Amino acid sequence: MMNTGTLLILLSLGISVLTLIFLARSAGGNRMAMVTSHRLFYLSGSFLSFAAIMLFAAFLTNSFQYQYVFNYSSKDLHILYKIAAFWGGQEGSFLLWAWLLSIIGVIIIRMRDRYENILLFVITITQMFILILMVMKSPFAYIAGFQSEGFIPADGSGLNPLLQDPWMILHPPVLFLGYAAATVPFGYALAGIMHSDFTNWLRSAHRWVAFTVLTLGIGIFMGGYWAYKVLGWGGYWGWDPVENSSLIPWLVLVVLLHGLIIQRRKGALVRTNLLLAISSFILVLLSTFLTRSGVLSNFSVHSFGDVGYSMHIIFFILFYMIISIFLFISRWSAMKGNPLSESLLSYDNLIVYGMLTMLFYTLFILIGTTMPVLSGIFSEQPFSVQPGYYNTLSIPMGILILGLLVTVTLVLTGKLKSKIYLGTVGLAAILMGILFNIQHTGKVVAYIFTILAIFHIVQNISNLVTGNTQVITASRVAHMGVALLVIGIIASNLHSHSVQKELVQNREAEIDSILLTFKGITNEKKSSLRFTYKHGRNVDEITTPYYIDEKMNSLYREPYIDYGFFKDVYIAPVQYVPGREKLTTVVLSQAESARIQDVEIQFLGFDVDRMEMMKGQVKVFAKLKVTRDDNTYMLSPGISFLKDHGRHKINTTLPGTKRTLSLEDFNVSDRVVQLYLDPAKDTLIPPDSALVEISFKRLIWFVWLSTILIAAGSYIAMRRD
Amino acid sequence: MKAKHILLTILILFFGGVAFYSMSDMMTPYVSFDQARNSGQYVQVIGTLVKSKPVQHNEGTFSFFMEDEQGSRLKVVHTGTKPLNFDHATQVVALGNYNSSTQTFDADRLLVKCPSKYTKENK
Repeated sequence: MMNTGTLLILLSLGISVLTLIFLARSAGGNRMAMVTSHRLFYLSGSFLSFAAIMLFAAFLTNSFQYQYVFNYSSKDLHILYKIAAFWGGQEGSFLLWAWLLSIIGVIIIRMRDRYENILLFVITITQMFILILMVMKSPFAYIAGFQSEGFIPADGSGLNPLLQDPWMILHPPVLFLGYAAATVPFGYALAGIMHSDFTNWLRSAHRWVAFTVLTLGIGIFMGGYWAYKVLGWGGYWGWDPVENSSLIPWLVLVVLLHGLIIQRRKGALVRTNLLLAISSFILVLLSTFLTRSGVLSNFSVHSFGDVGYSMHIIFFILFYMIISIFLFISRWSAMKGNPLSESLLSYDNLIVYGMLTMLFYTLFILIGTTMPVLSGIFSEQPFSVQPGYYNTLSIPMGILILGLLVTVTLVLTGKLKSKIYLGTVGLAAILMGILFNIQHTGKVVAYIFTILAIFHIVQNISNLVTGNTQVITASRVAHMGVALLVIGIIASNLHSHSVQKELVQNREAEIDSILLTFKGITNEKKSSLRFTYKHGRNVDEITTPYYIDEKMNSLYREPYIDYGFFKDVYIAPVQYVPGREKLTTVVLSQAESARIQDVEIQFLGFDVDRMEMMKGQVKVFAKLKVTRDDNTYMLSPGISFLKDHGRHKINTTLPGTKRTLSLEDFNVSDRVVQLYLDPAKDTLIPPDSALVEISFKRLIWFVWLSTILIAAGSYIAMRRD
Repeated sequence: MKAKHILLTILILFFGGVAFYSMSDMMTPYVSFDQARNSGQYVQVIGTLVKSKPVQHNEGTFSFFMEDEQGSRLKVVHTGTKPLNFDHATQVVALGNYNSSTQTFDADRLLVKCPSKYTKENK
């Protein structure tokens, strides 16, 4: 099964082993060994780059002799999605991850970092772990029959239409960049412990922590925008295990970012920060385990199958955990930091309370996410927790975090403001909070959240305007984002509603403030439902994709979203019901009978004609007992399959009429048939109809804007030394 | 020092309480239809779509027949939208309660297990 691509991966793996040897020799200060290790690292990186280029080329040239290309691409795929199909599956996304690690390693070498040696060590080992996964299942594996017979499939099986979205081009690479970057803070923490440097490691690590928060964060946010416009992924955030497993390390890194500030200010939290840096990376690996091993496949909307990686990933997690714990314990007494201040409400202590709250929040999300695995250990019947668990949890946690944000800003800048000023702002916030909610929800928590959030936004804006240097810009921007996110979540959930409506063709229906008319289905290969959409003074002709994807053989639907300042109108097609079909089509399992108008049909069984099998033709007939006007007939409509020519229907006619009775589809293993009978003469065909779900989502752009602010805050934190 | 420790203890107790409270409400065991029928509690059932029975849509609901791993069949009524890829599902997980008055399983959530985003069945 060896080919150039797989060979490149193997070579890269082999060179990585050599890199490790030279890195170990250079640890003592051997310059020659250091230069050699760098060269080897570059070499292995070049091989990986070649492998990546090869895979891109394979996708662009439709090289379906590769199983991976065959699985995720097809000839008619848009060129951009052919590129994106690179990371459409496990093998390709691992290659991307390993390659990004090479890039990060090169940056580390170029920066001539003090702890370059240990960082490269950790990067190389992590890379090897991913490379081994790729050796187990190579993206360059040939399809069965290629090597023996030179068989190349004429076309690939295509990319899942759900993934044919512009976000597919950006979301996975950014997320993987975050995963790869998370290796660096971990490496710094290990270096710090090994060199008994418990304070200086964080000077260099700080940037990388912020960079990881930035990239992983942007990756998560992009996933949110994407999930919003896909049906059935539960909106922008559904607390799905796959979503949670990226959120968990991100939250820990956010806590670490705050911990680093405390340590730089007061020299406290030395052990905490080391532990946070280590656990954030272990959690990245755990997230890989949860999403790639298939353990959660019964519990997640984004399901993943097991391909036998589990043990390997567990082994690797244990490997890093044991090393970390061992190092940590061996230096435990040496890494003692300064104690925190005694004052209950000091600036630093308030931040520590916030970190603690965030950590508990993260821990509970982690427990919820891993519950299917945890409960599987202790019980015969594993169980999962529902989004409601996270939502309930988020209320007290969110209020506490927001409350602490308000308090910490008050403690820091409150003295500069007059009591009257603060009172006025407070009163205004309360008033605005009430006004914002009053017509939409009676829930008390909505009022508490909104009031706190508005107060905090005013605090931040006033700090920005007055240029108070005690509060750093990164914190002002990011925390303003957090407050805005809270308001956005309240509005887009508690102030929003949706209705399901069956729309009969050409009949206008009123749903809240809009008028919607179903106009029928388009006649293209990838059909869409057409609607006339009236809102305010505007009349738009809109379409929502609705078609059976041939390659995946599944129904694909897309919503139409009218993005608005006050609200988004979200129109989702649920089901298209052709009027004719209601009248003429029936699905029967064996021995079952049903009526189509004046005719009673019973399905007796299959009759398979293999006579012409030699010529490559198979005929399948459905034996039917048909009763009409007290006359009973035995009819057998069928389908013939001719090699390379597809299927042809062998229709029958209902005796005494000109009405066609045909076999539309069947399933031999389930013993089911789908039958069609022409309607009787002069029957009125009912109009087509469409079932749609219309949602009104208030101020959802607050959520989008808030993510931009949080990302901007992380970016500013990264730029600051 | 003391005040801080007391605060910390209160905080941790508070967190624990919150988590326990949210969890106890939201734990949903994996059971069969028979168990769901007997307990009447909020549970999840894993099974396959019965393809010989029609999938029905009405305003606000969507219903289909499902066969659990023990082989017993029940009509599942889902209040919500049919998930994408539903017809292509190899397995369906329905979360909800057994409704004794209509003798259906009322699911407020459906998970569809498909040949997935990351792997496909190559058989």
